[in-house]
Amino acid sequence: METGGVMGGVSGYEYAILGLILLIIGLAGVVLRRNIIFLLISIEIAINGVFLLFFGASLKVGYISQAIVLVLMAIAAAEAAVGLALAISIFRIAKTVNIDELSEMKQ
Amino acid sequence: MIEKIVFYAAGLSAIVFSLLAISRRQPIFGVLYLFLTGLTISLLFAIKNSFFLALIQIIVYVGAVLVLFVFVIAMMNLKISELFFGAFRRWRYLVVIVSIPILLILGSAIFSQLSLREQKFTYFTAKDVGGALYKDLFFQFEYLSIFLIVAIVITVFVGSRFEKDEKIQRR
Repeated sequence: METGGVMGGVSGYEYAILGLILLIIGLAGVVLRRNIIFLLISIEIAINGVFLLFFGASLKVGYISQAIVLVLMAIAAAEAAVGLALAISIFRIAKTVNIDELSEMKQ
Repeated sequence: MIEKIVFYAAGLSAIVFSLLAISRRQPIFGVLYLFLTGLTISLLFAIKNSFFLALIQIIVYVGAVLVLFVFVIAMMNLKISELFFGAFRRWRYLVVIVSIPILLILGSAIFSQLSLREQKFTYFTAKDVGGALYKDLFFQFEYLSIFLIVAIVITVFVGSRFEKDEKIQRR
């Protein structure tokens, strides 16, 4: 098994496993929490895990994978802006941040 | 050796801070722990000598995106009694049982690639970013500009949709 590249440093797999753990924590937070702000925070944590996954891949395939991290950061920023605008819009209509109360489409 | 110590300390603190971030009751504390998670991830970028990415992580992500969260929480101005949501449902903790097999399956996908050779990795300068964005990732870069314009239009539209009704209600 290959451990690390130069001088016994940290290999890309350790970054990838850490990124996976953060991704799973974020996805679990999306399912567990009912507050709309915490939903967006959980999505941000999952996206941070994906950053670490791509960064770990860059230790294997070169710096192009790190440029993908930059592209992902821009996408994450746009996602946060749209998500927070939707959160404010929902809060204006329903006067609550609990997503269990937003069931108008059932009727 | 020191690289491994810093990596494990930063990685463990990233996991702990993210668990704290999704388990707080008040949103502002969740955002503050998310700040700490972003800073530790920037440290994880920095110990592999990619200082440009670490700086972008701090400036763009921790600096700009999370301040947006703070502004939105300040706009909502929630009372602490509004943050207690009815009955607690115990079955939600089944998610933890489900998430461990997902972690193992995705992890096995990573460990099936163990034969890939580690690259000798030095620096990731701004010149490399420009080269990668304009040569290798040209489509993604141009797509991103359209994506950001669409995001701005959606944000302005969604944010300003109900202003007219609110003014009528005030009169």
